[in-house]
Amino acid sequence: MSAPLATLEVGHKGNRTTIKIIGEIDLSNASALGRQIETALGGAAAAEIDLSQVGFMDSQGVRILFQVWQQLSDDGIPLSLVAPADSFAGHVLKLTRLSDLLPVHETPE
Amino acid sequence: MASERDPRSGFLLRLRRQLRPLVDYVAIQREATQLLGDFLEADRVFFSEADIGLNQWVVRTDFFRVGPSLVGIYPFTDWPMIDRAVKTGEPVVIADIANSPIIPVEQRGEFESIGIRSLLSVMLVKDERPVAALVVTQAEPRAWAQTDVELVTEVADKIWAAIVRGRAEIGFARSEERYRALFNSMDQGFCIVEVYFEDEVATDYRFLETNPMFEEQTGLHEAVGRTMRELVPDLEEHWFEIYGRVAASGQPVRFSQESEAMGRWFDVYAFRIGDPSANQVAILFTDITARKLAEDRLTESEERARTAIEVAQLGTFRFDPITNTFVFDERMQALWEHKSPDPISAHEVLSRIHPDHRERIDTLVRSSLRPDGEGEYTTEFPIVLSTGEERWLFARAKAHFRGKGRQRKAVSAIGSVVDITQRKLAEVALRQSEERFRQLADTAPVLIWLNDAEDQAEYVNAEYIRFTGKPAEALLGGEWQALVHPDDRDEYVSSFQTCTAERRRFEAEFRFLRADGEYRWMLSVGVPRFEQGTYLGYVGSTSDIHDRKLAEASQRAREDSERRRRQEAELLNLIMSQLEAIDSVPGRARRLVELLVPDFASFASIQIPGELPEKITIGEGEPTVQLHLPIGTVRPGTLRLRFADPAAESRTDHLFAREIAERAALLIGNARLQAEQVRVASELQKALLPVASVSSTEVEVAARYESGSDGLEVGGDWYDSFNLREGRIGLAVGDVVGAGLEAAAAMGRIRTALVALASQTESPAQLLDQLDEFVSGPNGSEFATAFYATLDPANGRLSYASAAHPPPLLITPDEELLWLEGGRSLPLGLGRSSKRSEATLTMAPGSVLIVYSDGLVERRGESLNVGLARLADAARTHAKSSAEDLCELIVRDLRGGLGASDDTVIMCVRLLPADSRPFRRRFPARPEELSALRVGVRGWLDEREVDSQEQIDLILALGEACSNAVEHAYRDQPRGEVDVQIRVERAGLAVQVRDFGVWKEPNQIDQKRRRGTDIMKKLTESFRRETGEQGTVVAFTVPMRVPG
Repeated sequence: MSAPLATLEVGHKGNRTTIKIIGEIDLSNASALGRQIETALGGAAAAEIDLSQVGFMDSQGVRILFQVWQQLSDDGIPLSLVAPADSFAGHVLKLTRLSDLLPVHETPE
Repeated sequence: MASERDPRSGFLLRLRRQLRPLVDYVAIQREATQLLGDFLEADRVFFSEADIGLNQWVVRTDFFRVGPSLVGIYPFTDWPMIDRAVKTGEPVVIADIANSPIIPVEQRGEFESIGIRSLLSVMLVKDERPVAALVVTQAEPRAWAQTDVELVTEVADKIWAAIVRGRAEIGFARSEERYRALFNSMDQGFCIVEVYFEDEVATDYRFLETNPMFEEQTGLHEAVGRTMRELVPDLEEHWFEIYGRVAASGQPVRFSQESEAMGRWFDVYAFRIGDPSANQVAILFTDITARKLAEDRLTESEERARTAIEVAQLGTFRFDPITNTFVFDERMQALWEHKSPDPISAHEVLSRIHPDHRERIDTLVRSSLRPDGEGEYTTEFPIVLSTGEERWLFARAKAHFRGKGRQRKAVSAIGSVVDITQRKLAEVALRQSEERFRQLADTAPVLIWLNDAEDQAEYVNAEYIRFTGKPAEALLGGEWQALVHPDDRDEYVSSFQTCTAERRRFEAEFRFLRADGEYRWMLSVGVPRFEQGTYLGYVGSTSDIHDRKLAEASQRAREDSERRRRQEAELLNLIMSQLEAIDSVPGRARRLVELLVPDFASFASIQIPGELPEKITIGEGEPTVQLHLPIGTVRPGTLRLRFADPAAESRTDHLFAREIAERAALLIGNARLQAEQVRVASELQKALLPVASVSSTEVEVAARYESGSDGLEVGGDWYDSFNLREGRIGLAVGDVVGAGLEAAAAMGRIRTALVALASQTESPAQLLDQLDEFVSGPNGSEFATAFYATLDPANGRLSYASAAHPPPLLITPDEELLWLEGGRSLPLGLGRSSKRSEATLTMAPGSVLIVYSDGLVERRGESLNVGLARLADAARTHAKSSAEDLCELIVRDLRGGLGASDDTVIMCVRLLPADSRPFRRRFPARPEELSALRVGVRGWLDEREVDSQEQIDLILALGEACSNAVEHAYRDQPRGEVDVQIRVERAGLAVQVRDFGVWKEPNQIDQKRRRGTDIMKKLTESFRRETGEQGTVVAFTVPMRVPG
């Protein structure tokens, strides 16, 4: 087991914390990724998760995104996602109707 | 057009209504004269019957506003106006007697003294003889209108008709119907015939109706509809003559008569019934052949007595109260046998009167002559002649008085006497007839009832009263209805009402409450009564058929129970045989309820805690019976049933249900034991057989082991496949003859040896040769057949050798079949002396090789060729199926539902065409393996140039399936493997993900998994998930627009 399946790039745009996930999300790394994302978003006033570079993501990925969104919502922190419609993640978000719950943008704002 | 009702029509209608219920002729006359008097506002109306023989009028009742009553007997001469009417036949209309030439001047005063000044008299003529007159009078002159004449004429006719009807009803006719109902259920022969006349001579008669005794009494079978001459061609003429006379005259006859033609004596009573023109005669008879002789003399004396009766004659007398003597005319002298015109003392006159009547007559005469007496009387009494013969007389007398008040004194009396012996005899006969009916009715063992025209009960016989224990009044008041069994009442009453409304014969069986509180089955038969077209009501008889009914019911019950026993035995056999053919407890339990519903039960459910995962239920409704099944490891099981026909639910059903439960429990229990043993044997066999077969993307290998029907023993059949060097594959199928541990041990040795030797021995023939020594075990030599082949997928080259094993079958891509007959040698275990040979062939890509053991094709009592042909058929049919499916389908086709006695193995090997080689990967169930799987799948998909969107769909769906398997299949268990196959098929990419673990119960499925499943279902087609003993298979197809 050499390179991790996915890596996070955390950035800030104004008061908004942005996280870009690069790689694949599956059963093997989803829970760990979820914890990393929660840590990265600690204290953020707004959040954006960029999924455009996700090469694979299944319901495990949806699960962590859903959990993150729930937690932020409780604190009143807005979350938006970036996933082009023809990307793997965009496809999955649409399938699972997560795109109905929170804003999904084609490109980062 | 509406018009005001004609008062005369209204009157006639009222008259008809009022007369209808009356039967007594005096009552009819009283009612009619009253109505007519009221309507015409006449002062007097009377109906006068003519006694032609005696030249006198008889008035029995009259209507008058001013007295006196004219009831009495009058010489024709007293009433000249009627006399004239008799002579002319025309109505006599006198507006005023004072100037009418019809009434002699000297009589006018007498008319006026009884308040008659004007009159209208019409004559009734029947059979060309005057029979009666209806007279309407007025105290004042009255101009009678023609309509009055017509009305009075019509009323006279109606009175006469009512009297005739009344007589008929009172008399015989009324009894007839009673007889009819009665004798249908009695031991006298009874029939109704229609008499045929030719020129007024009766020539034959046809039977319209007969009662059950008729046949017995006459010996004539099925007489109804046939004529007497047909039945007895040589019957004596007098029979026709007698019945002809009855039909023509309406006079009933009673006689005893011999029929030599029939060889019997009959006591016959015949009477006309119905419309006279119908010529119908009812005949009631008894076969008296046996007692005839004894009666002969009696009959003779009766005949003599009959001829002795003389014609009645009128006599007149004059009585002198002073001398207390009578002066008789000649007729009176003859009657009293006093041959002299001299006065005869009252004492002597009385002495001839019947002693029982003497005092009454004496008193009557004396009181009529008292100063305050009526001065007149009418009476009837018998006199006794010196011969001892009795004659009945009707006497009427009227006294003449002088003076007034206390001075009033009778000075003379004039009277007449009529011999009414004939009439009296008729009355007695009538009474006897009625009495006879009453006696019969009251001693008959049947309930007899009569209803009137309004369908109200009018009469019930003594038996009816005795049976019900209710007073006649209550029964006639309608209480009988309450005695009908509640379950039968509505139907009985409505059926009766329907019949009466249509005047049809009524027949019904019902339960009727007897006085002792028991409901008895009764048969009620009723027929409408008619008299000259007038409906009179119903007469019926009701007989107790309880015992017969019970006998029938018990006979039926016997038949039912026999039939039921037969059906039960059949059902039981069916259950036994069908259950035996099934191996598992759930299978047997399910089959049991399937067999019970719907014929025996409408609902059945079976529950065996610890044996059945859940209750098995078939049918609908609530169970009515619960049966104990003494099986089950935790608690006893239960079988709940609702019988198919709850009405027929009986003790028998319960007993039978219990028997089913007991027998089924045994069988199901056996299945449990058997299933346990089979499971052990089968587990052992599987443990001995390879779990994983060869792994290759170029070759599809599947194999299957099937235990035999008893399944209890480990068999000697085996298979194996393994990878050899340079990508080649080794394929082996063998059969150690025999079963049990020895065979299993030999099998184990052979397999182990084979795998070990195969890696070093290129030639299949050599390999078999080397195997030989491993066959023999410690207890001596075993005996085995085997097939071994090596396959090089790269070029399809197959080298094979067979040690007397059944020939494998090759299916070419063109679906041609080829039996591999080459490379054959002797079985293993016979020593290495024999020479082994081998053969080669090239399998084209797409070919399938089927290797099997003899259990697949052999059947007891059947040539092996038949089994091979069957295999060829199955192979051809399923040629396109995957190797895995082919194994299953062939086994299914060849071993069917019937348990095959021997165990068997089958191995199918398909050399895949390059473009249809599947993706196949088996990996440990660890999340870390998933990304490598995706890499492999992507490569495979790219090779086939699968569209990127379809790739996404497939990888996503596959990812979900694999995540599930990794996450759930091996929880709390040692981690196993996940097997993934992706095959290119016409419909798209067929994916199969298999694990070998046990999933959690469905109710514990979490949100994640549901979401994953949702994704799979959205992306794929034909999604299915099957969980079996060996794990779970998830399969789906990802559609492709352009198949790779």
